[in-house]
Amino acid sequence: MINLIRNELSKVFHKKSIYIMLIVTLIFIIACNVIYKYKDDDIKYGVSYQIEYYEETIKKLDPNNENDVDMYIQAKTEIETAKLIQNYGDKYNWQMRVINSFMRDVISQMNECLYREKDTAKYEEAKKEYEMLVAKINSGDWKYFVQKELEEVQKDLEQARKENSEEQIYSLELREQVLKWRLEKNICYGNDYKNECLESWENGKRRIKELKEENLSSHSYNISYNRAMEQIEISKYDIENEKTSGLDSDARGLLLNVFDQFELFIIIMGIMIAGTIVSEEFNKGTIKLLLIKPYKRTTILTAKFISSIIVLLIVIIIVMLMQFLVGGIVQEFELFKTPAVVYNHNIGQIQEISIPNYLLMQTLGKLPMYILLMTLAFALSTLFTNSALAITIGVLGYIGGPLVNQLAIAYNLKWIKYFVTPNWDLRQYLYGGVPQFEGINFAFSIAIIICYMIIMLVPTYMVFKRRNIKNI
Amino acid sequence: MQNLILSCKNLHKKLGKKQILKDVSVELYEGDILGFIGPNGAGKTTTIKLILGLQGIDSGEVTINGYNIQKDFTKAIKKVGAIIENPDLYMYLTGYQNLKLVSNMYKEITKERIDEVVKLVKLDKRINDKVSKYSLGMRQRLGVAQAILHKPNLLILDEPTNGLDPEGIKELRDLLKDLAKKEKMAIFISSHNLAEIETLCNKVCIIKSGEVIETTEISKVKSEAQSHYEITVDTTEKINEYLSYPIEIIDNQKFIVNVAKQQIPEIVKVLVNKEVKIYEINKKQMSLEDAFLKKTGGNTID
Repeated sequence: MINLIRNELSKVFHKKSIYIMLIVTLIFIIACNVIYKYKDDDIKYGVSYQIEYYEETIKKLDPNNENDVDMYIQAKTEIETAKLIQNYGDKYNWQMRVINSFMRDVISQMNECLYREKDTAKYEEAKKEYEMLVAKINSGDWKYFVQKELEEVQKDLEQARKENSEEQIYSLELREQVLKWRLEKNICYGNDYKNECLESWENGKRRIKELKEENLSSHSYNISYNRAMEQIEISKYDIENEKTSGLDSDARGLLLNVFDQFELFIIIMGIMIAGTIVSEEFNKGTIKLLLIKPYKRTTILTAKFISSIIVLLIVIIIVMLMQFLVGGIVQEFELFKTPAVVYNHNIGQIQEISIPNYLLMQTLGKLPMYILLMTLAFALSTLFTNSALAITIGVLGYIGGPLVNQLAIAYNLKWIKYFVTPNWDLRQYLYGGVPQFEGINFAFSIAIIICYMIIMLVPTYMVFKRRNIKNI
Repeated sequence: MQNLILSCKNLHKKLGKKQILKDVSVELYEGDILGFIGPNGAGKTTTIKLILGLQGIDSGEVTINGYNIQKDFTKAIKKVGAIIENPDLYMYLTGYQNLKLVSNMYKEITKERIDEVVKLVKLDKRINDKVSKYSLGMRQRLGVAQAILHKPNLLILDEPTNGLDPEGIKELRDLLKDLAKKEKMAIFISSHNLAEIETLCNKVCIIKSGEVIETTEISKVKSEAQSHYEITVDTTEKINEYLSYPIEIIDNQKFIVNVAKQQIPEIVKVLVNKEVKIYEINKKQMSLEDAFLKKTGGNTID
């Protein structure tokens, strides 16, 4: 048996097809790493259209006309704000945010004085304030604005506490915490990962509060609650420890999410091997060579099945190694020192897990799905001795799986839990996770997976054992 | 008494509605080289597939080295080497890698044995080339090499001469003769052309439409085929009355007589005495095939 497996592996690895697929995968991995490295975070904000529009409007307005003055002041304020933003590059940067939330009011004030009240002294006062703020922006003192915002929030909070408005207190406390973090952890306004964490934490906290008020079934409550908790805790962990463990676009994130990023390549290689390992021998006539050797047919078929799974494992390891090396070279190896971070729902705590351990658990969780799809291709390839059919249906199964799940959720089909697709991704049970479908658990999923394996393999073995080898 | 190596008893096989084999029985003893002759579609390949367990047997049984192929497959097949139809080779591997794959499947094959066999089939210079670069003759020889690697005592070859040029056929014939001597194997060769392998075999089995017509030692057929003269005379009307030898009359001027050379003057003398005019006496070398045809009642093989 071991000799047969050795032979099968040697045949597979002497074929060009697997190397071609690996090279294609490698090219894709390199492209991903390079693209993420040079990803442009400076997204254009785009105020020029706004300026054009208000300038067109302002032409038709007369500031001295009682009816027009409101509109005039507003348009003027918008134009000046936009122009200020343009001065700082017209991008989603912190200056843009500060200008939008602080400067607009001051500019509006200045225009009020100038056109409505016509009070030069007040205008000068406002102008002084404006110039002071511009100076703060120019000197890069974003903390000044955070401080200012914090003061406002705290004032509101005091007010809310007096009024005993619980909802407002909750929401303002969240704002307060975010601002405190900004000061403490030096997180400037912007759209980088840290800001995402702050946002994600705040949204998660809100979601938790909303959930309690929504009237959900206990199962969907659990799912949403877990998702929100995970979001909150991981964001909080990253903010407090100044880490980027939840970031999925750097080399480390690509490695941790290897099954989301490069799964298609892994699955195609697996199905390709499983779908050809028997049928190709039939098509080329070499099956006769195998079948007149002193081995039982079931032994030969088992050797082929085990070999395809070994090839799958090798492919998974190669893809991970490729991402590790390419990611390390294109970005930096230093990144891989940060452990993976997961939220364990059982103990309600964040857990640090070493990267190899995390990848191992992910692989184990994903394996049933891969093996089931490969078994499908293997069975078809043996039953119909047609590689193209086996590979096509195998890949269709991969694409169709999530579709079936979505349909089942959309139409609330209870019996779907006896189908294989809701059960085949065991990652849903990792770290105390709640499965997406109601009424399934780990043992149930394992039983379903085994059942489907047997359903596919029994006829395959029976047919292969009795098959007449016709003229080829 | 020689050892019985292969015995097929009353094999029947149906594929769909078509009866492919009817009551086929063949026996092969140690040292035998059996030519299994029949036209295309006679059931040669099917018989071989039944012997090798590649197809199920409807009724009858195949025993190799005392083991039943269906009940004791792995033991029965252990000392069998075979090439069915074309040699089964992995084109994307080298000749040596192909042999290595086979050697991995048996316990006792050493590296020396592989080298020995490579030399035997005269492939030592090209053994590390990809099989896809081999000529048909070389592939055939590599096929033989992988069939004999594990020192089988029964070698089964299905149409080994197919697609080979006369030079290739001669090479293969010499190789097999050599093997039979050196490796002490019983060899079972199927072919649709007896002439190609007649010098190789010591036994012949003729199969037609799924039935064995004749199984015999080749020497017997040869002796029958030896003396064979065609005589042309003015009229063959009364020849049967004049001669007491086995005679076959072709038309009213020609007849064939199966006698030894020494008897020709005797015949001439009789004919001259009876005033028969003799125009021609030709010695005809009767082929094995013709001899068989005669034996089986003038049916054509092809």
